[in-house]
Amino acid sequence: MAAPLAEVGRAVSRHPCGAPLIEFRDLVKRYESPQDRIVFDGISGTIVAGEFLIIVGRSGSGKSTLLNLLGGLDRPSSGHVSVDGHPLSVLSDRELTLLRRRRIGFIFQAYNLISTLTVRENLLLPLELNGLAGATDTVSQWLDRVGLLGLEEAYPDQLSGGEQQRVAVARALVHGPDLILADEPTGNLDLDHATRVVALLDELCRSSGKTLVMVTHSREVAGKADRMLTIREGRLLEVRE
Amino acid sequence: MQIVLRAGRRALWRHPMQLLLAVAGVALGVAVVIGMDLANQSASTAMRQSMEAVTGRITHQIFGGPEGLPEALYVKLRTRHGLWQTAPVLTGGVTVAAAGDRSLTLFGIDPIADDPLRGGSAVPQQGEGTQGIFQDLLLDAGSVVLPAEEAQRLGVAAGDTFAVQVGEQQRRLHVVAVAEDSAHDLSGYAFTDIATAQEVLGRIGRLSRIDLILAGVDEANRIRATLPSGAMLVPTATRATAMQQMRAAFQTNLTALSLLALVIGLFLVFNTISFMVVQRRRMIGILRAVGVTRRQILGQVLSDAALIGLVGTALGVVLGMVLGVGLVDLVGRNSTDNSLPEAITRFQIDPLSLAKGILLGIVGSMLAAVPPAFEAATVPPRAAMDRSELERQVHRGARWAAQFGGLTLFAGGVILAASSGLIAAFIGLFGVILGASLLAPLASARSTTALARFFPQRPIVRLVLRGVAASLSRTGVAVAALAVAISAMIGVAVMIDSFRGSFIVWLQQSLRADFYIAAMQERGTVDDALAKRIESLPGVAFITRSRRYRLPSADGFTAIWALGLERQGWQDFDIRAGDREAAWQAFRSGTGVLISEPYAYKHGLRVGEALALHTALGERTFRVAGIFRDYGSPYGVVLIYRPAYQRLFDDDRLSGLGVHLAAGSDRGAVHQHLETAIAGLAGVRVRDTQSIREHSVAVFDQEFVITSVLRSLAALVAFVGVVGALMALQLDRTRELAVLRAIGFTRIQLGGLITAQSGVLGLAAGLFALPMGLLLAWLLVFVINHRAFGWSMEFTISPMPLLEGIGLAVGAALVAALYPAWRAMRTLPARGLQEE
Amino acid sequence: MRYLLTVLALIVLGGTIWWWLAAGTADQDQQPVTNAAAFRASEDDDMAGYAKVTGPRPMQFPDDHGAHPDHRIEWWYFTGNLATEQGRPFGFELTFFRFAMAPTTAPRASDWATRQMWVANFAISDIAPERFRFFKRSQRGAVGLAGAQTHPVRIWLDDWQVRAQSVDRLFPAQLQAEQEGVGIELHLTSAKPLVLQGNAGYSRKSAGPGNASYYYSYTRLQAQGTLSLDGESYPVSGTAWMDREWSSSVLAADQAGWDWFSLQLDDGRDLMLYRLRRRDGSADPHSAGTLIGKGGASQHLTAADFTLTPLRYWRSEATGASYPVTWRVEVPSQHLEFDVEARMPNQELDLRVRYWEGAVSVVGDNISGRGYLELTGYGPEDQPAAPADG
Repeated sequence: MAAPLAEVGRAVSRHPCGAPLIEFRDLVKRYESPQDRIVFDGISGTIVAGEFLIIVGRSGSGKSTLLNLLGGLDRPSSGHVSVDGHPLSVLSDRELTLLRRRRIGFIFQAYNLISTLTVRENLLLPLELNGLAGATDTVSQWLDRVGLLGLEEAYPDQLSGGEQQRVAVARALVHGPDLILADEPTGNLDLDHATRVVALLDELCRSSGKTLVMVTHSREVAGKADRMLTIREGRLLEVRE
Repeated sequence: MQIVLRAGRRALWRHPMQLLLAVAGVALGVAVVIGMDLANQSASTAMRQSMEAVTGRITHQIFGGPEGLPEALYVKLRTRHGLWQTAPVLTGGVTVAAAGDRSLTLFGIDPIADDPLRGGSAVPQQGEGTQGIFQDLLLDAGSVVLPAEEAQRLGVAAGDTFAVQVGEQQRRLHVVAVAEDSAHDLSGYAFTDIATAQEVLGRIGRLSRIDLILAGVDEANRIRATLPSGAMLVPTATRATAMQQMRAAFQTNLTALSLLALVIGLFLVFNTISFMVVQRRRMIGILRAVGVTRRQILGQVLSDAALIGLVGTALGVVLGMVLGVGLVDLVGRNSTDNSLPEAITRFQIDPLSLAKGILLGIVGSMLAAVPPAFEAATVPPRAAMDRSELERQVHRGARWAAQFGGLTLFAGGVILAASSGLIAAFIGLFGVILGASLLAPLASARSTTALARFFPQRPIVRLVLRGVAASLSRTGVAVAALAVAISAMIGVAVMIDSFRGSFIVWLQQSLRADFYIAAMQERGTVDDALAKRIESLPGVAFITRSRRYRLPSADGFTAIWALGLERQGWQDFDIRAGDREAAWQAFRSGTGVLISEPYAYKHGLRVGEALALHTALGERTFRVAGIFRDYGSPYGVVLIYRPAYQRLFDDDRLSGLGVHLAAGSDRGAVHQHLETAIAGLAGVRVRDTQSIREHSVAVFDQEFVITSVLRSLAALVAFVGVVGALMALQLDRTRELAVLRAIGFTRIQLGGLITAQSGVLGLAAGLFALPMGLLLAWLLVFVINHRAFGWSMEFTISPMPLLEGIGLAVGAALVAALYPAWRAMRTLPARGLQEE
Repeated sequence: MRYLLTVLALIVLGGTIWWWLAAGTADQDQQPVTNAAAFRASEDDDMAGYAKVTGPRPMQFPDDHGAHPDHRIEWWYFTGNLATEQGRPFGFELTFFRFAMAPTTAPRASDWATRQMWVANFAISDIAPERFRFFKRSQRGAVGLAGAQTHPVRIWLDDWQVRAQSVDRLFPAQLQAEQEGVGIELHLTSAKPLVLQGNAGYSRKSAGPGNASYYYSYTRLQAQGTLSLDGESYPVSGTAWMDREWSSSVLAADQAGWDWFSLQLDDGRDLMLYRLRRRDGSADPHSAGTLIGKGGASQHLTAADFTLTPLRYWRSEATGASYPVTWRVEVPSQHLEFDVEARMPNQELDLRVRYWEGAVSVVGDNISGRGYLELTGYGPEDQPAAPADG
């Protein structure tokens, strides 16, 4: 199984701009309980490398579910997701995990920092997982970039919400993934902080050519995006301003 | 139902596994207390009953001079003085020529009067044909009941007749029944009716003694006043045997284990319930935010705690009984002493221990819920929703608990140091255990935090280590419980090892002769003439002459041990206090005596102090020349030089001889010579030292079987309880684990993380339990056993119990990780992220 | 609260199971036998070697007050109704039984050797609070532990005894027994002469040869003395009855037990009645009785002369046996018709030999009195069709 894996892992930065990074076809997601609830029924789409894509929609429309499917955190009821032309459905859990570990960074609404680790350790965690344990410089650089230099030894619960989310942004990017999946990263923040976090994300991704997919229902942050999709009544639609 | 209550109830149903664990936690806590108590009571009742089997419930005995008592005295006691709980005994030695001059003690009783006194044990009765045996004994001259082992040795069965030699006379005895002798302590006896005993022994009209149950001191004094001169009423309370000593030790240790069970039960219940509340903090915060009052919150939490407590207690009571019965059964099967399981199966249930268990389960559950519920209801709603706020609180709590624990530990130490009684010792022990266990959470948190410092750049390692400290709110009490259980295991094991080691050393020291010749009854025929004959046998280097005598005294008996000891034998005494040489001089001169440790402890005597004994020449005072180690009697013994004893007590009889062989002599040949020398002497036996040792150690081990089983039970319950607690902890971490999965932890890594965290927790508890267990063992050996018996022991630590303890701790923790790890590995990360 | 109920139910269930289990393991080694079994010759040859009761014989007193060691069974029964000066009522029973374990034995050197076994029962009925205390002792009839002697008459077991005050007469006599704080000491005098029951003391119990006893009674004894109970001592007085029988076999195989009445009527007459019950429940024609006149003249009653009808049963919680404790008594030839009622229901002696022996009252339209009632053979194994077996 080593060959395709290595391929998945190595493809990262050589990927030319404009080529499709993720393709999903006929995705169906239904929950068996309580009553066979269908979230969406056969949606398809393509995400192009390097773009900033925003998915908006009402609560419960399936935005987060779609994001989870794209990141391999969840499995579709039917349909395919492929990254770089590799269908996720044929990957083992280990391969899927390695894909996430190397190429994807997650940001959550609730920050989800590891409370028992300091800020520095939270950033070191993905590095260590990728075999880059000694990269302290990288940590400092990223903390500098998110404006939190000096707070390395703080624990998450000693930070404000905005600060925590900036740590989460740094954590998502520190190991150099080429896809960032952000699930309502501004949901817990005020407009001021939300704007700053989105601007930071946008800037960081654009400067290094990373693909950013963000789920949100705040239209205010939508302006910076290249493209905006919405899920309405189980269908994926492109929103044009 | 109120909506607030409903929210609480739903929260319980929402996590069925956790609910199950909570109920199981309470149930186990209750079960261990009740089960242990029941087993203890049944065991000690059985002990009492099997001891009653030997001495019966007899409180007093009347002895006569060398010729015993006239039977008319017994009749007078019954018909004139209205004593109806009394029975006559006539014993004497006979030999069986056909079985190599085997010595038998003919034990004559009145089966009618004996039955209510001794529960019929002296003549073991068997279901069918009891009436027949009874009548045969009364009606047939020469009829006897033989213990099974003895019948086998003599090669006779029920219905057979065999010849015995009594002095110059030959008599025929008829075996009417062969009785079970599962305790193997009736060998050497033949039971018969008093009429047959009088006829066979040629002692018409006489009795050896009269056994009585008297109501109290007044009645004893009344009877004493009516007795003719030459008859002496003596309380039986001080009949000291090696068996009784072991049993006393055994019970002391059971009490200690019961105490530990209570601590473990307490911790399990507390852990379970406080964890339930901790899990609910977020909900409490939200409810508070929407305007629910503190009282309502407390009501919700307490009602749920009560529900869990009630169900858990109900299950726990049943489980405890099952546990108790199983335990009793296990003990019964392990024990070779058959009178024990028989008695033990009459399972005793004490309402008090039931009440204790129920109180612990229900009230304990509710009490355990109050502090965390109160805390959650008191903090601002936003803080309540915040986990980190809680952990800060709990760290404060752990510090507080540690301070309180330190204080309790100190207080326990002070009580132990300042007091001298056994009850105070138990209170102190309780304090020490409780205190030490309260230190456990903070100690484990601190130590893992400190350990984490060594891995500054290794977040995964730190994740494992810091997880222990960070999850104190949910693991602190579990760690304490585990530490107590493990330390109990270690402590008791070390204590038994120490006791056993010391016992064996003592056996080896005190049994230096190669053979022992013992008179099996008071009127045995070991005398100086026999001693001289044996001394002159080829291969015999020297002999020691020993006379054991129970001197009637104000508080029962003083065990006197008169020893014709020469310098060679002196070295075998383990003198614990007093100068060896000076003691020898004083002993030899007859002015000084040696006393055993228990005697010194019980009577508060030191070397150089005076001891008065009522000799045949009146009251004489002796100087305590030395104190020696002796596990032979829990009441203690006074050792006196035999020539001095002969003079002072006008008693030339001997109870036994120790035969020391010359170097290079043939053991087998000497044994043969000895057997020949005692052939024809009624009630005299030769015993090989090795067999005495083996028998003694076997008796010792058997006595400690129950202790070991109870120890294992404590371990088992702690194991299951801790597995439950840790499992609940890991199940509570679903969301965090999902994040790790999202970041890129593989399933294996995640499983490994959970296992490692749990394992470290177990290791921390195990390591903490080591010094605690040793402390406990030290207290058991040097304080509890010393105060109970006055014995001193060597402290023996073997690595096995320590390794077992740590192994159990880590093992429990690893087992606890299995299910959560499996579940976490199976869960899709997206699912885990949705969890609250 | 629903769950509370559930939990309570659980606890109750657990408790019940526990109780049931515990009850199941209770002492079962001492299976009691009912009185009847003890007095029945189970095999014909059981009687072999014992002296038989086959016809009337002249009685010699005081010798016949003593033991008859060659007969298998013998007893001395003392029962009576007592009261304190304030009228607090008591009943008492002190009985001595002698059993021969073998018809003969070879002479032996030890005085302890004997074939005579003695059993004594002692009971006090504390009628007002309905408390019944009873005790049993056994002893061999040797070395002076138990026995019956004459000149003077003395029947004893340990320190329980009845002892004549003069050398050649049984009464006046002193009766005493005590155990565990329950005791009695009575001075007994006889108001009427001795009554020979049956045919000059020969009392047939069934058709079989030898199934008979020698039987005499003192039907009206004046008793005076003290009774001690629960640390208190009460001066008491009242009327007692002595029954005296010896035999080698009493009941035939088809007889289940007997109901025996000793009644002292207020008009000065005394009435002894016994009904021998067959296994099928019917009364045996050998049932009999005696009416003793005020002056002491006695009149034999045959089974045809009287009827005894049980009216009310009392079921013992301890043993499950049901005893008829209220009776209708009719002796038409004497114009006697009254009820006999137990003065308290629980006077059952749950011993190895189980029976009911208790104080009773005579209640009639123009007659009253006191007495004792003995009921034997009411254990399940003695019941005929056993409807109570369920």
